[in-house]
Amino acid sequence: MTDNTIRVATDVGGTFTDLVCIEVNAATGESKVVTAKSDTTPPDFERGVLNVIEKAGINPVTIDFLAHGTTVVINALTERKGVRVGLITTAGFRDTLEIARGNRPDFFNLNYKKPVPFVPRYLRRELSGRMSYKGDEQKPLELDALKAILDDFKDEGVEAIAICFLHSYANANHEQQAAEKVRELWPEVSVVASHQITREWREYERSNTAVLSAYVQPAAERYLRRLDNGLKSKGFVGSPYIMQSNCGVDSLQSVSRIPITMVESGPASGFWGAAELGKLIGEPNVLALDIGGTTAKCSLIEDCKVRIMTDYWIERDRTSAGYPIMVPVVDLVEIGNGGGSIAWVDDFGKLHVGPQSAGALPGPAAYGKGGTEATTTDANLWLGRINPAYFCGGDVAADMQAASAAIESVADRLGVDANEAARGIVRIANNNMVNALKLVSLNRGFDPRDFTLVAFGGGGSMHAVALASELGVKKVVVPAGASVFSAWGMMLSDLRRDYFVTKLADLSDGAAAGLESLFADTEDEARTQFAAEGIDFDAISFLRYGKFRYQNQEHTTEVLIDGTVDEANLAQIAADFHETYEREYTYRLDTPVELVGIHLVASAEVGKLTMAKLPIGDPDASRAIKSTRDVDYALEGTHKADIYDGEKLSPGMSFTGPAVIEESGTTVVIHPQNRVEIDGYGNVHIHI
Amino acid sequence: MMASVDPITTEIIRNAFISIAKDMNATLIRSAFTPVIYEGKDCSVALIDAQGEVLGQSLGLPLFLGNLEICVKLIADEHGWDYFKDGDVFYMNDSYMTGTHLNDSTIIMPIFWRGSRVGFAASRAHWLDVGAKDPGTPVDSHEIYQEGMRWGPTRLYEDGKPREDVIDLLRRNSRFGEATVGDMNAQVAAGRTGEIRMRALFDRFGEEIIWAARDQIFKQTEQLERDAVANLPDGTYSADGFLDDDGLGSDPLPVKLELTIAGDAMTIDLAGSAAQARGPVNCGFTQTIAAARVAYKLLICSEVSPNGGSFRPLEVTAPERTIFSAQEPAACGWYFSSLGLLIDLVIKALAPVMPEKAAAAHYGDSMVITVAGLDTRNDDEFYLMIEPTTGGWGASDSSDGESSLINNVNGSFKDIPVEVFESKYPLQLLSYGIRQDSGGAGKYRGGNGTYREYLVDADSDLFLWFERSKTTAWGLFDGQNGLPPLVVVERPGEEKLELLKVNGVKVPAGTVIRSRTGGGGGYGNSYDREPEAVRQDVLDRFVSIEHARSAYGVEITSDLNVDSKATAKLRSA
Repeated sequence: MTDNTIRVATDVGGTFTDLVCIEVNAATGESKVVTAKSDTTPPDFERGVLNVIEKAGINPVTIDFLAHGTTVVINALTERKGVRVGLITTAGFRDTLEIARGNRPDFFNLNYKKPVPFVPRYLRRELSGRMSYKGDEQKPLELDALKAILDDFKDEGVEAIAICFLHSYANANHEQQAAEKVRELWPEVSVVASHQITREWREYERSNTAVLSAYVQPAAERYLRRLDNGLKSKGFVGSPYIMQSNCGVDSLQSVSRIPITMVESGPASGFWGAAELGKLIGEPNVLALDIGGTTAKCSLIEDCKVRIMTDYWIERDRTSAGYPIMVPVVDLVEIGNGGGSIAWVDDFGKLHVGPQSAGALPGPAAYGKGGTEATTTDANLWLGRINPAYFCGGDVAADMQAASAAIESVADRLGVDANEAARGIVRIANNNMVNALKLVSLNRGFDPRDFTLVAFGGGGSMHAVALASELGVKKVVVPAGASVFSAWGMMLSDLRRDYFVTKLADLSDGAAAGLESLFADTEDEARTQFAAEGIDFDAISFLRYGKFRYQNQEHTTEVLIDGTVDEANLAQIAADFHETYEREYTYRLDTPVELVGIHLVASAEVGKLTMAKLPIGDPDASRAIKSTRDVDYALEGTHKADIYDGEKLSPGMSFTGPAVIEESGTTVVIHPQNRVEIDGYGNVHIHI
Repeated sequence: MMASVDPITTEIIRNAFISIAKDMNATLIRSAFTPVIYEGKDCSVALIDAQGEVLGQSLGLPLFLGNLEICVKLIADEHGWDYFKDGDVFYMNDSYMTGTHLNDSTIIMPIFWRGSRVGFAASRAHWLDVGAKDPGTPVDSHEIYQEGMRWGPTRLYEDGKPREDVIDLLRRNSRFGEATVGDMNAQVAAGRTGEIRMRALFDRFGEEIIWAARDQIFKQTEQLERDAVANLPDGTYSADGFLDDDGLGSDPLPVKLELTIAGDAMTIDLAGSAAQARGPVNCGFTQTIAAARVAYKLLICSEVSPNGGSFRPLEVTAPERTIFSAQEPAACGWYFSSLGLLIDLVIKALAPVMPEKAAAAHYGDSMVITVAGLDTRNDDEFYLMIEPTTGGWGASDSSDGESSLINNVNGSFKDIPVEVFESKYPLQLLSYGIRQDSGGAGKYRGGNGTYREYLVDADSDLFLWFERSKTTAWGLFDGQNGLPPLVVVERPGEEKLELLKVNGVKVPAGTVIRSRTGGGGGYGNSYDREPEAVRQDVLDRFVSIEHARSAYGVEITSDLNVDSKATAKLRSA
């Protein structure tokens, strides 16, 4: 038993709590994979986690590394299930949260409404005191008024307090004083100050971040505490690592302080998995695509590096400005197009797919649970891309009658036949996804043809080849275990923290010392934090990015800085900036370059999984063929396709499309002429 | 014989046109040099077909709805379509052609595919300074020659190469030459984005399919709009209001419109509006058409993306040489104030037949404050701060108006964060908030205006363009009007000044400028407002206890509860 390393990842989703366990034999390197699923158990989500561990037959005592991802934070936000928050801010600016930025994205709506602030005006209170933009104290903080404010908050049932003062990114002293005083006067209340979350400027975004963090803090803290206690009571000796939105994991203790950093942890682990997979198979440049039941998400990975930004918003769309959350989140584009997205015809006879989804209940019409509207999944069934006899891994008998009725109804409204309608649904869904993939590639100056598409999630591999052909991508990789890929990504994650600090400086002679000391100070801060959690100094590695722009511009471009900053390499940094800028914007200028801040990535490995490669065998894949059937490839017509049993494919096997690989939880659609190879890790490589 | 195209392909092409335009706009905004563009979003882009019809448009500013194609057509009218050569990039800013002020740069790039011209990528963006007599946009100009350098369509690029001498001329004629060239580059980059994407679209579908899809899209859009207009009762509807003055102290200027619905056609006639004014409140007719289109779009098929099939039911007419149809040498620096009012008035005119779609008037104008001087923190470098201010919007038949929201000719504008603002300019912000009691009372309350207070740290000059104090935001169906705007200037050791428009008043270090914008109009009788809703407003200090009593007839006690008895008495009085 002691020879083996057992790693477990659990992921709490809206409907199910998933588990993946990988047990690696230290002597042979062989690994055994166990997956399990159990119901999610709101509001006591930790119960579902303990259940799924038990269901998988894992004794918690034996677990060496446990990673955990949860949608608890994003759900609390979107379902408005947080606590009542009071905001304390700089005198004269309590309306920052409500004015937001004053914009009106839905131009032609006379009744445009801003997103309602999470704190009403009467719970937004002010303290006198002022910092300058340089961080100098202009007016000392007056804390005398605080007592009365807190008394009011108590009367009003406030359970968490957010503090955000102007220019706290430059000097956090006033926020620190106020937070300390709150803790002294009212030790039970949950309190967060904006500088604890971010050191970047823009007061509305920072205030809203602090408020939303406070809003979810009590519930998230409680959840994490119960999870920890529950695991301990079952004998788990370590402490779980919690998945973050920045593609890393962090300690439970640290996440409990600022739980808002978990907000997009779900997609983050999948994208991290894609980057790690790329490293493993020698594909440093990856377009990662995750198609689930309701949405498709994509992200671009360049040179094995995920892109982390702090420009994240919830509930932002064409008709609403949304709410900013200024925490490090993997750069992703998400659209309302998944397997359950509903196809509909508008009043003007135009076909749309999504963003409304049939969800888990009733689900696609073919679930036979009363759904009458056609979804992408129904169209895929109709076209023979999904096997009705092996629907949901054979767990569900596809209700083809319901699916046909749903497709026919779309066809009637469009005035075409059912085949045309089903193809139309798939084409529109694909087109939406192509646009999303263009947003993360072409729009940032990257040519998709230089990338490999890694597709995962329940529906990724069904659409990936069509998307890749359209974008000119030459290869698609469907990872082994694509449907539980996010959990796999979690096990490969490092302990990671992203520090963003705003600091204006010209990138001119003499600037090196200032920039170097900013990096050095931030690195010290990171080391101190890591050390407090028992992480060895030597285990910590850093990546330094500078955020630059041409003087007087607003938007910045991030440049990776290699090693110590000194006068000698300033020119190189500037050259890198010009090059990156030109790629993104098609031109460069002979204008002074300005530093707007830094982005420091601190990471340390914590019990990361290493994958073992299996020997390559016979290329003949014929023994994995289980049948043939007609598959409609939409634009390429109908072809008789070989149907492969995914379980029987082994390293080295090779074949050519038209084909479909069926596996529990995943269907891989391979178009005519595509050449397929299975690599030493069981990943499916499709050459287009 | 026209190629036929299936409805799915049409849909994919429609989405492609729109997303190309969005991509262009994203490039423009992200690479721009001045906050007017990257935060104010005073810009727009369009993808246009070979005949000058809009395929897709992405607006930063709604007011630029459907006027870029007019510029393309004007060039073609003058020189013929063959005037556009592969590798050309045109610049123009002539107010009488583009309709707007000289600051707005229109850049047009023909797109060629396999040797033939298939369309245009066009953009418009506000340049900070184009060499007017005063920094930015002068408030007291009375001839266009005082407002900067005026350009007809001029090639910035020829055969794909920049004409450095012409670009140099642009640079030399701006107080911020480098930023001007930077913004020009951003517009050219946006055009390149459009060109690359458009060519890729042609590579994929070919010319026949794309044009067939376009024809379908235009036809559908036109039909939808005709149906919507035909749903309105035939008749003539009218409304009028006043601009405060022409910026040079004139009497109020009338804006008057008569709107006729006849079957599936709508005509807006502006006869009776003020003649071309001496001050800079005039605009070219191109922009008047665009403003009428904004009003139309607020009421007709609002959710459909505009394209070349849009606006076909709409005709706009105006006599020559009015504020809406200016000719040389009329000054056009503040071309938009009459247009914001025009938009509000169209809605007012149609409110009786569209009560559920219409809303009471909003605070009305961009409320622009400009402070310029030498930045003592930064080697006395010249600085120029220009910003519009948000205000209150009108209530509707189902909800209160929104507070502190940008005006109708703007849209994607974002205010400059205080933290960014203070690092950029030698000015501090003392407060920024929602102005109590400024929204018009009603069953649904008008949104409140905004206060924003500045402390001047370096000796500077102040310029103001605040409008709509005479025709404040009106209420609808018994709703009350919102409060007008006001700016108070407190200079050290001097009498307070109360101002709305001013051209360059000295504001020494230590001056405090307190700006207040107006609120929106109320909807319905204020005595029909739920007392609990009034109490909530008082709790939030959006409405004072006194205003609750005087305007709503609701008595709120000192412990902030509704005094039902006193309320009943007030309301029955």
